[in-house]
Amino acid sequence: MTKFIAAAKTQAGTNHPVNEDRLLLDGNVLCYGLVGDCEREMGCMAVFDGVSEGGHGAAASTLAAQAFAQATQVFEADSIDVLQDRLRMAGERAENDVESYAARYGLPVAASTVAGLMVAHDGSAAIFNAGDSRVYRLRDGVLAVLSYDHTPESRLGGVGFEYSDESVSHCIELAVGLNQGGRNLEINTTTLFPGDRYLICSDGIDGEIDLARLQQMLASDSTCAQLCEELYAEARMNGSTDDATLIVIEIGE
Amino acid sequence: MSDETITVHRDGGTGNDETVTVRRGDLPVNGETVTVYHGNQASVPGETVTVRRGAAPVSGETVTIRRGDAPSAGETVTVGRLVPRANGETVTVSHPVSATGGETVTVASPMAAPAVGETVTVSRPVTSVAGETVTVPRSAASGGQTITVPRGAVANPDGETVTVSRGDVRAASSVPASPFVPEDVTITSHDGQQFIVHLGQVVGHGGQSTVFAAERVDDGLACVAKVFRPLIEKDRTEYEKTVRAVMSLNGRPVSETHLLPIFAYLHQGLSATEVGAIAPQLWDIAITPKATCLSDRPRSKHMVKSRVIPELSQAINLLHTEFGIVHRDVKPSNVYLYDKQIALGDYGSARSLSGIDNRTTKTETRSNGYTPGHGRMVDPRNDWYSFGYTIWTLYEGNVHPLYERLKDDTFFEFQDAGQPAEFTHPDDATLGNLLQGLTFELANKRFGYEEIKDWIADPDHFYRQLPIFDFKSDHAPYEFVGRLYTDPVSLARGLASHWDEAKQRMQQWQLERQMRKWNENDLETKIHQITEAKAKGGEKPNYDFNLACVIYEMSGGKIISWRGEDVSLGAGKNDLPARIANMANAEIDRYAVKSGLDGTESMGVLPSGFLSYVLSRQGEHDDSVATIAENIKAIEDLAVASDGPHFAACLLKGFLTFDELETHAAAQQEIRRLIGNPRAFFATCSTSRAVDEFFLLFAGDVSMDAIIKARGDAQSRGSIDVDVVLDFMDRVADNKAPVRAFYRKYGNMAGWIWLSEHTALYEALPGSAGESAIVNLRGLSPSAQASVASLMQAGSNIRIEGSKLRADMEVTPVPYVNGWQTRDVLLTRPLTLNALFCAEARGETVPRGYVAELLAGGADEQLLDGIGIRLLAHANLTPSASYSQFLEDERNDADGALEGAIQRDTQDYSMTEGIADTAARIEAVKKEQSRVLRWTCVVAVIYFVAILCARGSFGQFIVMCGTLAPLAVLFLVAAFVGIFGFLALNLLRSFSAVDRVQSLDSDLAANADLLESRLVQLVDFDGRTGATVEKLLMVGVDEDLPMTQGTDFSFGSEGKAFYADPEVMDRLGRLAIRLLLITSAVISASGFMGTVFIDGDVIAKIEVVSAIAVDALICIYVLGDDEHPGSAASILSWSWIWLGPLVIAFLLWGVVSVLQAFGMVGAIIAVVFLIGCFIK
Repeated sequence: MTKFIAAAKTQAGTNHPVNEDRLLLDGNVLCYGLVGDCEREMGCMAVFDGVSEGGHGAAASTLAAQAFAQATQVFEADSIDVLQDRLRMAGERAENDVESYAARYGLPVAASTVAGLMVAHDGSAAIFNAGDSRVYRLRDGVLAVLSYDHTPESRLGGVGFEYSDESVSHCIELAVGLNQGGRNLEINTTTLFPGDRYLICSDGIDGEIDLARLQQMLASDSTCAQLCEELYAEARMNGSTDDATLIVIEIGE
Repeated sequence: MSDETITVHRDGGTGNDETVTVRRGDLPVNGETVTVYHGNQASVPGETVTVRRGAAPVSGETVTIRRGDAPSAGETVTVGRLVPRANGETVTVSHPVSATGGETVTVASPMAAPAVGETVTVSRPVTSVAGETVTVPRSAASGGQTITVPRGAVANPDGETVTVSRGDVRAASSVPASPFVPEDVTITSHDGQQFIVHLGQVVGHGGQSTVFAAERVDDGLACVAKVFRPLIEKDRTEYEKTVRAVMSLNGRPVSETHLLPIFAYLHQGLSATEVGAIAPQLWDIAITPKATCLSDRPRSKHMVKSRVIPELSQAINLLHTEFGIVHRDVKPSNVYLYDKQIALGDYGSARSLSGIDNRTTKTETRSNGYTPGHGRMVDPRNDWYSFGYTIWTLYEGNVHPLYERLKDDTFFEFQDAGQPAEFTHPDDATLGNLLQGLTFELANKRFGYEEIKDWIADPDHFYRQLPIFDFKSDHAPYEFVGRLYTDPVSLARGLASHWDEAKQRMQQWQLERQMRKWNENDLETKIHQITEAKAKGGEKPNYDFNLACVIYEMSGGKIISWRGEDVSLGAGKNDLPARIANMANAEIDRYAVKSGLDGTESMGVLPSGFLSYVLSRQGEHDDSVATIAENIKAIEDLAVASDGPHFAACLLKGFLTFDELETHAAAQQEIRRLIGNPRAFFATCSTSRAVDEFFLLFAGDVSMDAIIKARGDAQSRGSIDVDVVLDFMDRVADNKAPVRAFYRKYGNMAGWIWLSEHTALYEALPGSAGESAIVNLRGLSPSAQASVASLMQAGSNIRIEGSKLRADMEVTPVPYVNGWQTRDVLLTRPLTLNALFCAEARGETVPRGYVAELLAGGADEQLLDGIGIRLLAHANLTPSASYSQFLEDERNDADGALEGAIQRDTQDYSMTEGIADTAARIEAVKKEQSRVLRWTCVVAVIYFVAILCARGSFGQFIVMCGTLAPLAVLFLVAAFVGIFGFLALNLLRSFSAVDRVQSLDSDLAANADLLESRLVQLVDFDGRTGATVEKLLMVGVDEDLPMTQGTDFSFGSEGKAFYADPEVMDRLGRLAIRLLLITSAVISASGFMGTVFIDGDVIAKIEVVSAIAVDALICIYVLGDDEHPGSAASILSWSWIWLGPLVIAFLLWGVVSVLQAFGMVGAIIAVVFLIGCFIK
């Protein structure tokens, strides 16, 4: 069974009165704090970024995170297929919960981005996301963006570089709660190898750190917990005022 | 029934029981919408709105009922139909607000029972109740409100759904309940105008707002108030820009601007209490005049063309050009008829082109049918796209041209495909041309205001070439190393040219992402699978291999590149076969080089398995590549498994450059050469390199599997196994007989095969293991035509039986071969020396005859020694150091059991030692015999002459001859008996070798190391008699053993005692010879005494006494411990002692006697010579 070390951090920025990001780790939904290095074998790890008005974003991300937590808690997938099915189920549950919430309060928009990683017994893992929260992987010195941004920039721009047309506004085309025709998650699969480092983060982190710097930092000797702090500090130093949430994972032998 | 009217407007208030009837007599056009407009007045309880139609509806026709006001509690809306429903027809009643409780919606079919087979379903958002009445809960405070849709007299069956469908995808126009506590609120605009907002009269919903009825206080102008949550600062800034722009036009007539005026916008300017809330909140509010929405009912095509197109386009252009504002929400429901002018309204989504903040709009839902795929972009060109579909929808009678796709939520896919919708009205083809150009997906090629103006100027002749949607070039080209790529094939070519950079892109998942952008979904999946695939053995991905596969897939199999080098296996001049043919062998090694994961060395194409991947993919469509694929796969596996790359690379070269005729001829020639020259064959088999070169000759001519397997098997033990090479030769040679004959002489099993063909050299007791082995060996003897493989197999079996035979022989090996029987029963015996297992062939002890035959057949010792075939008894071939190594090997073969190995060797060597040592002893004894005989004769004659001399006269000699002749004869007989006694003793001593071996056996358990040392010494042939060994080597094949039972040196049955206890017998023999000596001495002395007795003189007496004394000394000496009693040397030493009396005699009788003695010498010499000749 694949073992890995994970650390995480989430903290509010100055854009919102409360942290509208949520962190799912070990079945717990967190809205504040740092989780230190800890060895794990299984589980679902994800970040959520609420999208709404008037503080309802926090509720949306919480509901989405809780739905994922409930759907993936005490669940061990033998294969990647089973795992993907479970994630889709989690996505549907989150979708329903967020939609119900939006309907209850008459909100025109209430949704949550999500990005995460879930490990199966066979050493494979599912990378899932919706919206602009991301999953990165550093393997053999190469940084890869494993998630797919559901934004016009990503859709219209070329792969591997940002869309340069200034007329494009940053918006999210897919998120949990947007009711996009029953599709609310992008799921990819990968295989975990010792030494791989994964970064799962909301746009409060990577929105302000360029890829080269991100690669450099992930390739450092810092522990996962140290990286959490360093990446957070880097993002803030670069001017990020959004809520920031990140999980750093290092695959062990 | 009137057939004239299809729409009823109700502008005034209505009382209870008022009925509004719509009748029409014409046949409705398919898709036409019939709208019942219910004014702006609140309905009263019990009010009934009835729609009747005079004609049968066409199947698929849509009947739409819209209401502009909020229904009151208890209000009933009835939809009546005059004709039976067509089978499959659907009537949909949409209810735009969330129903929560108490509301009743009744669906009735007024005219006819459902036709047979007709499906009529009653759907609603809550659990259905059987029967005609459906109660839909709603959140509005007007509990108990009922909306009834009658359907005639026939009761609806259970589960029936009656659906009223609408022409666009917006929520139904039924009036929703107010989200606020109903009250009238007065607000004042910045310019001082006052408005009364009726929060109880909801007239509609915007995207993020609710629209209420309002009126301007000054003139009572009917207005609408759009109430929404307070905008955040950034959004408000944007909205205020638009508001200011539009309000700046308030002084201009609508006929000029065609923009719906905004009377007021107040940030947090309205205090209202949400239903269920305990306190009021502040809301943003915008007030515009009440206007008729064009989407509320169909407009004539003429109106659309003559009014809507020019006026609406003018409004949009005005926003763009004068204010730099993009509306971003142009659609039928935002186009109004106000003041008899077409006016564009609803600016909630508008954005200014200046100072765009890209992050202000956080979310975007799917297209509503009027925005392009990236419609939320602040791009003025997108407004023309929206304009196009808006016009198209209005032209189609408020039915979106892609209504079905919108309903199925597949509009996005349609947009992604980039093709225009079909315009189905040939009468207005120019309009269709315009609309298709306006709704082109890509903004840069889309029609715009210029084309619209052109169409307006000449609608009958307008035509523009429609843009062509080239998805890949128009949509997201891929930038790679300074170039933009627009299709997978050209990108694949670019990737192959910049390998390392391409690997990075692949690792970053960029390539599969780009395939997604290019809508190459299968490629995307394939590339992802390749990119994430584990390497063989579960290691990390082999990025080179993955990229090569990705490039191959992206190029559709056109580009077969490995690290930028074309490795296509085709027949082109630039393909790999043509290039590799001209490469030096050292140069091609790179194709088979393995590299570590650290990337310090570039992996070659062979160990990567890429060629097999390509061939397997090609094999999916072409069966002819199967053989090539198998061979390449075999070479690749070899490259992975080999320590070095050279052989695999050479195989690849050989395979790719194979020429059927030349290769085959060269290979067969080499087989003939090697078989005809054993020295060359074994030289080839002496090094891996040489044997590799041999195997490479067959690349292409023989399957790669066969070559690789033979090569692997041949080298599996660290040295070259000639059997495998010969087996390979046998399989591939055109003429197999020479190969098989060669094997019978030089193969590893040749010695054993020889044994099976020479079983006549052994005899065994019936019932013994040896007999069984001999029988089996005869059965196992391979036929003359047996293949090498058969010979190998047979040899293996023969070896088992041969080992049994040998073991049976070795029960009592040494005494038997030495010619003596033992007390043990002899089970199996060799009949000739060649039957003995005293030769070695490649580490195995085999019958001597096999090697002897090779030597007799012309093989020289140097060749045999070089290939591990030798006679163990050969001094020159078995030095001590070799034997030490031999022991070591044996020890290894015996799994480290030193004792077992040594015991085995002891048996082997005891046999050869016995043979050699015994033969040597026999030779020695023969020589000893001769020497003893000669010296005994000499001593006897001297003794006799001495007596004569002592007597001092020739006459006395004559007397003595007459008197002592019998004694002399007796003496001679005794002497000869003694000689044979000496011989017996010497034979006994020949057992010493046996003794040593036996002692070694007994020492095994005690001290193995010491024993090993002694064994080494034992086989140190330097101390041996070379002649013995030479004789062994000279013995012919058919020569009998020299020491078999029954020879002159056999002691018959008595000999058993000697072997049983040779030491005792040695002592007995020593005693016997001493007795013989004493006897002879006594007899001699008696002779002296006799002569003394005859003569009786004093001198003679003295002489006798002296002689007796000397004899006594001799006896004493002989009785002493003589290590070699009876030997010639011993006798010789005695002879000097015997000279003592002779010297005394000379001293006593003086010179005269000496002279007399000399006179006798000649006669004595003659006698001795004669005797010696006789003996010899």
